[in-house]
Amino acid sequence: MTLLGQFALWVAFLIGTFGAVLSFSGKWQDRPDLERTVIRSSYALAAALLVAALALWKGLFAHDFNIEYVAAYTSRNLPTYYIVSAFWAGQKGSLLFWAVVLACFSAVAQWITSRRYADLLPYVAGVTNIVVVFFVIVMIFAANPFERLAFIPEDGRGLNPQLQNIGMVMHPPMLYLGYISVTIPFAFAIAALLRRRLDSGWIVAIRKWTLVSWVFLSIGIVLGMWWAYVELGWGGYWAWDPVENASFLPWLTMTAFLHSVMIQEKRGMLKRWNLSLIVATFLLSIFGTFITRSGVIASVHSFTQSNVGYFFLGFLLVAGVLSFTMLYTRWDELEPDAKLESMLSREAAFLFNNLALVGIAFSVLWGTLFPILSEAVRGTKITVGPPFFNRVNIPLGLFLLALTGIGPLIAWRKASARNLQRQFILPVSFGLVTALALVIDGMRDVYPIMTIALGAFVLGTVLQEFYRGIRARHRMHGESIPIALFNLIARNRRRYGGYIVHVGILLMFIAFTGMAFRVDQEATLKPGESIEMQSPYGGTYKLTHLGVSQYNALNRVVSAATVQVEYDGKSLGVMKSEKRQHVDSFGRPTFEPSTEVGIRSDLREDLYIVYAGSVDGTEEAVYRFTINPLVWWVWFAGLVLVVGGILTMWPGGGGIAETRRTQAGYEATLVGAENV
Amino acid sequence: MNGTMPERRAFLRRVALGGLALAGAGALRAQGATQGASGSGEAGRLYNPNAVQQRAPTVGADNDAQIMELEKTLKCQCGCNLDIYTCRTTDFTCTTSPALHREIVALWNDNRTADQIREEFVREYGEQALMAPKAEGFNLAGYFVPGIVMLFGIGILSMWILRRQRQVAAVPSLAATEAIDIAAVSGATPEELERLRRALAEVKD
Repeated sequence: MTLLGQFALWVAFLIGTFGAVLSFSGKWQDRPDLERTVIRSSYALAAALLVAALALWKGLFAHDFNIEYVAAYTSRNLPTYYIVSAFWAGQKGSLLFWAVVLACFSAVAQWITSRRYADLLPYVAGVTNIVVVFFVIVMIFAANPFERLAFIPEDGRGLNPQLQNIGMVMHPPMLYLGYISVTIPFAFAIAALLRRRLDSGWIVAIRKWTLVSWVFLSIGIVLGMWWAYVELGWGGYWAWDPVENASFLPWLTMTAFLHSVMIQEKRGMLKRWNLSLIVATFLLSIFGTFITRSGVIASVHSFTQSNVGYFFLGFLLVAGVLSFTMLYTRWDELEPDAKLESMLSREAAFLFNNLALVGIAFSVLWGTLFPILSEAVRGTKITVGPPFFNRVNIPLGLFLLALTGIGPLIAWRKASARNLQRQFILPVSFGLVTALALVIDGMRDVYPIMTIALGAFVLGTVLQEFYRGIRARHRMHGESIPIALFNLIARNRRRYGGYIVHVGILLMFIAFTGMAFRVDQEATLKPGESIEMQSPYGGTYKLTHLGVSQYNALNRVVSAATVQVEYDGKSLGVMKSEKRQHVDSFGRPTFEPSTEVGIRSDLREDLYIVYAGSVDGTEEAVYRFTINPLVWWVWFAGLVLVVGGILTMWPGGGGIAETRRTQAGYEATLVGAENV
Repeated sequence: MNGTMPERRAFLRRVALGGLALAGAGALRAQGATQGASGSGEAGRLYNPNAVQQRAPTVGADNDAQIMELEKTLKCQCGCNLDIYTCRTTDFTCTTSPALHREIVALWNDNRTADQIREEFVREYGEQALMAPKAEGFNLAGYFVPGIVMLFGIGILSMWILRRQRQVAAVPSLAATEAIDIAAVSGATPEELERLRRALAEVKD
């Protein structure tokens, strides 16, 4: 199987290189047969890499421990679903995963893209082939998943215990799908630049792809937060770690693009900016990979340090220089079709929103790279941790949250004073009343008050938009409220899906404030002993240690510490936190004992129990108890965000015809209409 | 029919009871196979003590809120990138963070202030002992560059929009010069146009 895998990698390398060279030679422009060949190279590349992927999976499932990767990440007693996820658990496998998924995306893009953009497709194939070939080169020359050992171990090392979690089965592929699918819009952007087809057509061709990337990235990031929370045991979900930041950066620029692209679609403006954002998003996705794999910046969860970082750095530089040079040489051809007319317009609000998103991206990038910069300038290594990022980014985040509410309230082109008054009065009142209520209730923390008040303002905006839309449909079509709501969303999925995403964002911001009220307590308890803990909401938890029981499971020895939980005298049941000593199929320990936390979650707060260890090998247990307010809302907000994102990209409900109608609306002025 | 209903019920009852008995026996067998000897007595010994980390009992200083806050500003030196508090309460394999915690507690008991302890750590481990760099010298760039860039961006963007606004204002708009008679172009009736105007006024998008 390794021979087949190696062979498939080399075939992929040759096919990809051939397709890319043919594509960029431009010879296909007068030769339809060559054009077809270029496009078919994408399909062949996907097929070759699928063979390589199947060969690795075969090795994983067959426990072929002669393959170094299989021995490093699996063992005979590893549950089947973790054998599946072992494919992307390590550096080499994840590179193959990246390459095969990108090749498949590329083939799908060729397959489903409308023939209207046929002249772009060979260049799209060329760009995607180059990116895939880059990954194949890294595999062949630096991180080969089919590398063989000089001997055959009896059993593999097994998967890192922290990766033996359902979150880790889903989080990496989702994040990779987000990272990888960014390549398709990037390829269309480069193809448009190469073909000098610089109208807004290519934007329509990639609209769905950008939304797909954004949704996958969002799912990947939220799942990563969830995994960190339930598995790592530190009681938080975001630590501003370089690897986390690396996933956040392309999400920010992609979000900026999804907003600014609306201005290009509706008004033919911001063509240069949108191209820059797409290129930046792609480069940031490669940068994230570089950070994760190079070891250049210390991170709690990066891959082992290796020389693949140099490959990524080189690729990043070459791709950046070529892309921006191409953009520069087409600069004059990217003149806007219309001009921005007023500071008080939705276009201007979107521009400020873009500025905030890109500003936050810059700030996160700056903080991530500042240790390297400091070492280069001063020769002193410094640490840039959560206190730094919170101090710098919270004000920027609040500015963005405010813009989330302001944008939809301002009319396109130019808002009148009457329009502003009419639009703002309700949401602003919502925000002010909320702030007042919080202060009266005794809250004195400035950032949480601002966050919740701004969240209420954004919610007011969204509710007002829905209310007006429903009322209009009710009056015009006589629809009942549920039907009007359904039709409102169904007929303009992008707009109302976007509002649902805004609700997800505001919920997430509000949920984050819960961390300001977190309570921690450590305790050492003998069986039957209890401690009491005060909830931030005023109630009291009584936590009684019941004992520690040990038993063998499939690939581990489990030590389960159980705790009886009472809240204000009412029993909430028994919770359990575990220590897991993983073993191979011969019963030999493979890793240090890992911790499985116990979590009891409700709408108000989470009770988070960590069994830290035992005193002198007895049942006397050392615990860390944490009360985390509003965590449930983080996951719910993530769900709302993703549902909103999926709604915006669901087929139908607008599209090209709607875009044309909108654009036409700016070419004619309705007689007597105040604002269109 | 009358004869078969009770028989069927009895049969189903027997099947259900049999199933329950089998499931119960299976569960008991599984428990017997996996259940090790749990501790006995007040704090009995674990069957396999090596399967868990051994910890020192908690002392009062472990839960001191001021020490916790201080530890959240100091980095663990084990190479994990976490602060001392998070590392010692999360990574139970780390021996560095408990040692650093003891060092902090000793300094705290020696009546040192949080700032003095931070200074002591910087002297001992260098500036990377801090989770966030001190806001002085070159580090100021770390704190202020994003804000300055943002303000600069807001200034540039505002100027650009205002310039565009003036340019557009200088050119007479289509609406001001020759409003198109939509009724003539579209063939819509005045009632339909009025309905459209009302709908647009509602939505105001």
